[in-house]
This record gives sequence, structure tokens and C-alpha cells, in this order.
Amino acid sequence: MATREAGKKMIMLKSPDGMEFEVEEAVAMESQTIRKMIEDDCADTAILIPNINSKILSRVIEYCNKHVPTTGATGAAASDTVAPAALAEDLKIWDAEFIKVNRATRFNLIQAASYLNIKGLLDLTSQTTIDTISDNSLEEIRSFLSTKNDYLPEEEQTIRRENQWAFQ
Amino acid sequence: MAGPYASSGWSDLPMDLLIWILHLLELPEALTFRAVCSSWRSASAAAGGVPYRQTPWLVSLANETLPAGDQHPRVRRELCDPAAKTELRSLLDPDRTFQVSLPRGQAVACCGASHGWLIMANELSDLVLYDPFTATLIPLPPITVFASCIEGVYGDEGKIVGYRYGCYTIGRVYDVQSPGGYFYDKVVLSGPPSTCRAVAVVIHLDGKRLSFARIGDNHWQQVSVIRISGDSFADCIYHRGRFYAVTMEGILKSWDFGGPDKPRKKTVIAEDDEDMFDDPVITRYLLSTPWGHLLQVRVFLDTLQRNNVRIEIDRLDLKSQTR
Repeated sequence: MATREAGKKMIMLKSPDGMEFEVEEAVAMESQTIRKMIEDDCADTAILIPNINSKILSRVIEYCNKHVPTTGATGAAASDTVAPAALAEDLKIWDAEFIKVNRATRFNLIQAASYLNIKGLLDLTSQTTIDTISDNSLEEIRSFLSTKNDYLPEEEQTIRRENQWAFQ
Repeated sequence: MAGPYASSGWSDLPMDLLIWILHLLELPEALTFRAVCSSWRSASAAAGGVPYRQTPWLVSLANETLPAGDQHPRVRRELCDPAAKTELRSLLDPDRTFQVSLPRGQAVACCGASHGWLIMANELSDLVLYDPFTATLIPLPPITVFASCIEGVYGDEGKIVGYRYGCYTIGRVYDVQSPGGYFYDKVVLSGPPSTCRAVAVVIHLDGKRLSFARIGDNHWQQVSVIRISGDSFADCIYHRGRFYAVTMEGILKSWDFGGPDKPRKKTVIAEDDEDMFDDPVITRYLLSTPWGHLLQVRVFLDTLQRNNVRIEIDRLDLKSQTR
């Protein structure tokens, strides 16, 4: 239910495994998908977030809480005393800690970020995937991402021949 | 883990998400990406194969390690030498190089690079487009179809054995490979050759002439000739739908090859910008910025500078000076 608490509009998010999370509307609206639902007046009752379990959803909310622009009474104190650059640096460190999760969680986070359309989280989770691709050989990437190499040996050979220079 | 995503199979990521990641990759990583598994490969194909994010790459001849005690300190192999090796180097990571081989007989001289394509003169001095990443080769109209410039000299079997300059009276015959190295000054494309009606524009004949051809045409059409003895075209680029060419003296003209009729010409700067109190201009370049400005880079001879060169960059106002 959308309720009011200390002048802030609250939104209820529900995961498919039955957990409910009450979050500030501004925090929930970090997700473009949820923002659209709220703007289209589809968010009167709790919003069910399909496909994202409570463990991942709570992490996503944690991310949005941290990244919601600090405005109004509570945010003013923070932005008055801390320089914006320092704040951004602090956020970067926080992000780096946040993404230190196991492969399965990261995989779920990237999908959640994609489904909920949270640009910052999508950038963050994609970047770790990009780093994996940049820093490892093809075999290492496959084993790290637990992707099966579903090419036939001759196909694999053709692929390698096509762009031999890139695999040097 | 609940929900349909619990499997954690990275190869099962939704297509749009894979394409999103792909667009963030640099070229070598994007090629690795599509080799990982078949679903990533189909995402790569759906994204058009080549990543959007393209940082510039440098193509250069690879350094040769010389045997110790060699009398010649620098052996420079020509591009046309079959033993010459070519390197690709990303500007993001200049210490990392990739060796590429250019197709035999097709790379006698490099005349330009546009939209990921190298524009090279081949062993017959004809221009070809070459994509070093996919090894695709596309010919442009041959050198003999430039308006009254070069004539082919044919042997007994009807094969071209040399060239003669049709526009000069001296009847000297050059071997087939030689004009490729100096006939072309710069070639630029309006877009990748796959785009509809892509146009190639060439500055040629000592910077005196400008010709164009559409990809797939069988002839070059001359668009401009400089008759003033001291002036020549310094640079030509494609910028927001038009080609711009600047002369050594600073005259700027532009052409639109979009329509089916004759190209539409516009003189952007009609007067030279020479100032007798200023240093002489050595050369000029045009630059198109990603945010839509056209810049002119002027290189001055300036003896007060340590390397005798001063560079000035100006933004060209394309509206106010239009005639």
C-alpha cells in the first residue's frame, strides 16, 4: 500500500517469494520501470516485481537508497557539509564494495538492473562483466561465466581464424 | 534462488542485455565476446557485428628487428613489400599491438581511412576499400576513369602494362604500380560502403583536383579543379551530410552528393585568410567533432617555437559566411 510517513510517500515492493519491502517513492523511482508504473498510476497497491527474489531485491533497494539524489530535509545536511566531488568518490568506493559478490549474485543483479531499468546499477554490473572479458582469455571467460562452449570443433576453428589477430 | 533466472547461465542472458554489454566493449573484446558461445554470437550479429564504441586505431608498419652489426641503421620496408608487417594499435592502450596482414597486391599505398575502412591503392594503382577486421575488400572505379588524367598503356594481350598522364603533354610511361603512391592525396568516405549511396571523394593530382564516385559506380566524376598556381586542396572531410574541402590558402567549399542530380556546391569561405604579417601556413586539416562542429587546424611555420611549428585550431562558423 502507498502510505505516508513523515511527509514522504512510501511504496510497497513485493518479491515473488512473498517478501514485502516498504521504500520511499523517490528511492523506488530510481528504477525507470517502477517510475513508469507510478506515473501511469499503476502503483496504488503493492508492486509485484516478478523474477527478482527477495535477496536480490533487497540488494537492489540498498543500491537505490544509496544512489537516490539527496534533496530535502534529510539530504541537505549531507550535501552542505560534504563537497560533491568527495560525495561522488565516496559513492564510487561504496559501489566497488557493493559489487564484491559471488558470480551468481552478480548475474542476478545484472538481470534485475536490466528489468528494473536502473541505469547506474546496469553500468556497474555490466562493467564487471566487461572487465572479465577484457582481462581473460576465451577459455577463462567461458569457465568464469560457466558458459558452455556450444560450438563444434570446426566451428570453433572458423571463429578463431576469422579474427586471429584479436586472440593473440 | 527463485524465479526463472535462478539458473545463472550467462549464455542465457536476454538479448537486449547482451547487446547493451557488447556496445560497451572495445573491438578486441567485442570479437572475443562473440566467440564465447553461440547465443553471444547471435547477439553480436543482432547488434550489427561491429561495436558502436569505436576509439581510433592506428595502422602502421611494424618495426623490424635488424640483425646485429647491420650497416644500414634503418631498413624501411615499403607497404607494397610482401615481407612488410602491419600493426594495429588502439589509442587507449598504445603498448598493445595486433599484427594484421593486408591482402597481397592490394596495399601499395594507404590513401585514407574512413568509418573503419582503409582506403588503399593496389598494385594496379586502383583504389580499394579494405576492412582490416573482417578482411572485406571492395574496389572503387579504376585510375583510368578519372577525367582526362591518366591513360592506360596496354600490352599485346590487352593487359595494362603502364600508365601515361593524359593531362600532361610529356608522354612518359609509368609502371602500373607507381601512380598509386603519389596520384592520390587523400580519400574520404561519407559512410561505410554498406550504407545506401555511400560516396568516396578523392583529392588527387598534386591536390589540384577533387573527384567523387558512389560505391559501385564505374567512373569518377570531377567536381573541382584548382587553376591558381599557388593553391591546392589541403584536406577534405565528411561532416553532417556534406563534404568540405579546404585549400592551402584557406578557401572552404562544400558539396552535397545526396541528390540524384549534379552535386550541389556551396562556397563557405570565399577569400583566402592569408595575412602578410602572420607566419606562413604549412598545412591545414579539417575536423568534424562528435558534437557537430567543424574545426580547422592550421599548422604555421613559427621560428620562435622550439620545433618551428605552431598549431591553431578554430571553429568554423558554417552559417554566417555562406555565400
